[in-house]
Amino acid sequence: MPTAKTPSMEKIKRQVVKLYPDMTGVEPTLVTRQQPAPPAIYKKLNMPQPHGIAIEQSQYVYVFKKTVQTADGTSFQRIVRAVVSKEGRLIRTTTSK
Amino acid sequence: MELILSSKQRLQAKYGQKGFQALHAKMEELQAALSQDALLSTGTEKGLPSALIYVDDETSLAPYRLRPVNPAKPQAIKTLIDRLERRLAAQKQAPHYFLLVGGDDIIPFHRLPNPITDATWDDDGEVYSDSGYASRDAEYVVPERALGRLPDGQSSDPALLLAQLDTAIAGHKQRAAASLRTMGYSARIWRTAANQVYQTIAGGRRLRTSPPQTAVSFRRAWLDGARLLYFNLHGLVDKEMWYGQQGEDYPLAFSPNLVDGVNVRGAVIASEACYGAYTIGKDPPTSIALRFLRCGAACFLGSTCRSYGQPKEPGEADLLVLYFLQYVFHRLPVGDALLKAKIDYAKRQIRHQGLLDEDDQKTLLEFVLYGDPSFCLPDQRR
Repeated sequence: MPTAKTPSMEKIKRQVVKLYPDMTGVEPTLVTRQQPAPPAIYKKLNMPQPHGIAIEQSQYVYVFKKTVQTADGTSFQRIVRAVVSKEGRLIRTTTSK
Repeated sequence: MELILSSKQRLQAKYGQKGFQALHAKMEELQAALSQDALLSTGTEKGLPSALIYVDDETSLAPYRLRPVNPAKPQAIKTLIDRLERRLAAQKQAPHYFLLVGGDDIIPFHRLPNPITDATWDDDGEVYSDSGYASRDAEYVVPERALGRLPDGQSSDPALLLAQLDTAIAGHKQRAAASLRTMGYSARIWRTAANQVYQTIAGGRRLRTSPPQTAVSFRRAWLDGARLLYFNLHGLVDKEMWYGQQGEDYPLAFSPNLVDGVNVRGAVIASEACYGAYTIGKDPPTSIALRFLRCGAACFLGSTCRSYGQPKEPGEADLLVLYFLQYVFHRLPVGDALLKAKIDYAKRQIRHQGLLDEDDQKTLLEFVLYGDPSFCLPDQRR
């Protein structure tokens, strides 16, 4: 598992900062993932249930959080989520609106 | 058929008998407009039949042999809708559109557990959602019904609700060809993904960004006459403004008063902003969504909670809004557009990622449609 101290984590941080320069210096937190989506969803969509458990167990989610201030002085939290493979590869990121 | 649902007791308690009567008369007027709408005609049937049901009124439910429910309980209302749908289907009058009349204090949102269970990531304790009403079973993430809501504000003046009912009525009467002007406005940091969303409807028109634009430099003329509007800005739960972003700079990008005095009648608005459709305890001066609806916009799609997207290519809220706008652009009624957009989104994410993850599920639950679900943009080709 990548941790904040492993080289792969440093690589992930670099990749995230490249996409989100305002996250420079922010230390990510490893978050708990929920159980995969319930089978009823796939049934409704007429899709075979993917190997969700296997996929989720092979991925980690890191969250970069930062309190920022708007032009009118209001503070809010900006969140960037990074989905990372077990090998430490950045799979995708999302950001709060 | 369109099923129009509200709470008689709660409308009476909030607006008084006089206010309730005005709203009831307006809902009957909407039924008449639906029955005359040639575009919604099917086969030999002219217009769209409808039923006005008060979920807490014995007289209203008697023809369906159903008992009133407690209007404070969304689960009880959902169960009633399920039963009503089955009864009507048995009479070969299965409803296709579902319209909730009133905000959270008339027909409450479902308070659903946040699929993102780790509060260190996302601290929205629960998701305010209409997905429970839009689902036929106990699985709410993927809806099966075309559903919309006319939200009201805090005020005990029924003007906001009456205005939205007037808009819905006009939407079924005025089918005059109109040019489809669009407007797109995004935080600069998201311009690449936002432009991909906007260009599906914009036909080469320029996406505006903040910065450099701010609520001060934004020209009302950009809104005036636009029929399809797309916003991708930051939003906060307790603020009426939306914000732009570039680096550490978060300018005030859009405020409710920018909607005043411009023609947004019959417009469809889609916003990705966090809390863009959070209307609990708000009124048109403190909610951009309610301000647009008060000024005659036909539909507002937005999120009741914190939403997510991507900067370089459309993801999460970007994708859902992209699919919705495409369907609306191709003249699907807005309720069908959201229903299909949610299904497309869920399928795409499963195919692309191999699973429907936490923020995908949250995205599907938190986006709500304000407006009459059977409304569609006028078609120049007709």
